[in-house]
Amino acid sequence: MAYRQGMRRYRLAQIIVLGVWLGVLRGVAAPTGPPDFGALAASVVGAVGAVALSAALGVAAGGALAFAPQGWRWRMPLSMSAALPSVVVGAVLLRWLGDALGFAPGIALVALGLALLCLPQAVLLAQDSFARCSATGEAAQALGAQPAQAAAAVYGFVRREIAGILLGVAGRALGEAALVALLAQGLLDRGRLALRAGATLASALWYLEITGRVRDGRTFWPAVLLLILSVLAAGTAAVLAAERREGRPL
Amino acid sequence: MSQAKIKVENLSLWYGAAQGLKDVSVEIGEHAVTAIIGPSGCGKSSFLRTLNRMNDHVPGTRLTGRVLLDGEDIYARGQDPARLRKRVGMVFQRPNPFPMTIYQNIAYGPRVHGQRGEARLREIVEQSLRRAALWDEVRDKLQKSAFELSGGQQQRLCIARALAVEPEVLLMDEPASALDPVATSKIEELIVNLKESYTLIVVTHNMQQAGRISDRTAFFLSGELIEFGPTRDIFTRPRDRRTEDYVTGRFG
Repeated sequence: MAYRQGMRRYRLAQIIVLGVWLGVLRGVAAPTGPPDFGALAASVVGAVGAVALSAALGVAAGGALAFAPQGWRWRMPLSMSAALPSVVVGAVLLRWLGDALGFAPGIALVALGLALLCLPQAVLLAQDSFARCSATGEAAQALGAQPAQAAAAVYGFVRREIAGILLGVAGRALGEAALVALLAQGLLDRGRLALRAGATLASALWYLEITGRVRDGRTFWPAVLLLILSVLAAGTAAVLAAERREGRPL
Repeated sequence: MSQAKIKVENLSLWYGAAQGLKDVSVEIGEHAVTAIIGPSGCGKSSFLRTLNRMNDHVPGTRLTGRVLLDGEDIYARGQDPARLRKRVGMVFQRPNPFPMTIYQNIAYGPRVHGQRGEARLREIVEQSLRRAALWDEVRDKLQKSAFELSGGQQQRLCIARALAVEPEVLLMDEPASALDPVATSKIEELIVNLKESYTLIVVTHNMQQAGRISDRTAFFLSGELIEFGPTRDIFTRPRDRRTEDYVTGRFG
């Protein structure tokens, strides 16, 4: 019970944290003058929307696939493609983030690669989801439901479960790749590297630890801490990038 | 043996070119627990799924022979699989509650079969949960999601859901294999209690479990029914050397 509640909270926390994080990064990093809070808010709303869109695309693809016949030869390739929308949107978001922060093209490329590396995990999760979809349909038919009634039960499953799973994949692709990109950028910069990269690294480790804790359903409150630390990490990296662009010594 | 509820006559099953069951004939007694044992891929689950025509959903499946439920051939022309499955319920290896509340999970089956009155549905829900020994644990959270239950509770919910359509036979495909020992013992206790009202057929990999819960045991190997008889005999005085090798752990 705690696990499932934790998963739901984790997914919710993930969509909010990632959206806010990306939005803050873009909003803080782009301008060089005093902060423009209107642009910052717009950035946050846009990023939360984009992460939600990523999840929604995944859900739509998963939903369509849930009705594919068992044993159909295209089921496997389709189940792989069902995970793609989340990862592709995640990759686009990372590219956008890289531009905003003025990342070196190589680092942005690494971030994209990392996002795509989540694809096998996405495929595994998607396979598991579709197996569970089939199990739901089978359970309904075992109760004497007609195929249309069983399909309705499967649709309910798709709506509630696959949404969360694909959102989790999108979140992981974004979160982990963005973190590594931030760290890589920090390590390439010189000067007060130890201080700032250390702060970023500590935040990153907290991020990973805390998302694990939330995912395991142990507690929800670390998600709040996660939000604060994530914004701190993003802020640190953003300042680093802004200073570098202005040519100021670090 | 009690009166036969199900008679299987010369049943063979193919998945495309591969033969899953080979000329199986067996009589399954009413109000008894029958265990199906055998190594992986021996046809246990295939056999179970022929008893409520769940194999109909697998493309390329072909079947010869007869399966009689109370003397009526379930594969005869004009038989409605949905109606058959109301009489022959099934519980799967992994708990698979619907993404609905606990109440709606139980009410799903009766609703599918046309039960509309809410008062009667409430009665069915309570009765089914009591039979599955789950009522006391969930009576105050019927409107909560079924996913909030533990794995063992979810499996008992699935059993309650199957009982809600008032089946005569309950097929269970390794119902405790995904559960911890405490949840497993509750399921086993439940199976033994349910045989007063239902005919139960349980596929299991666990021979100790088969020994604890079943009255009769069938041993399958490579799609063949090697031996079928009282559980005590199968485990202590098997007639076939292959049965002896399996139950003594020489293979499998």
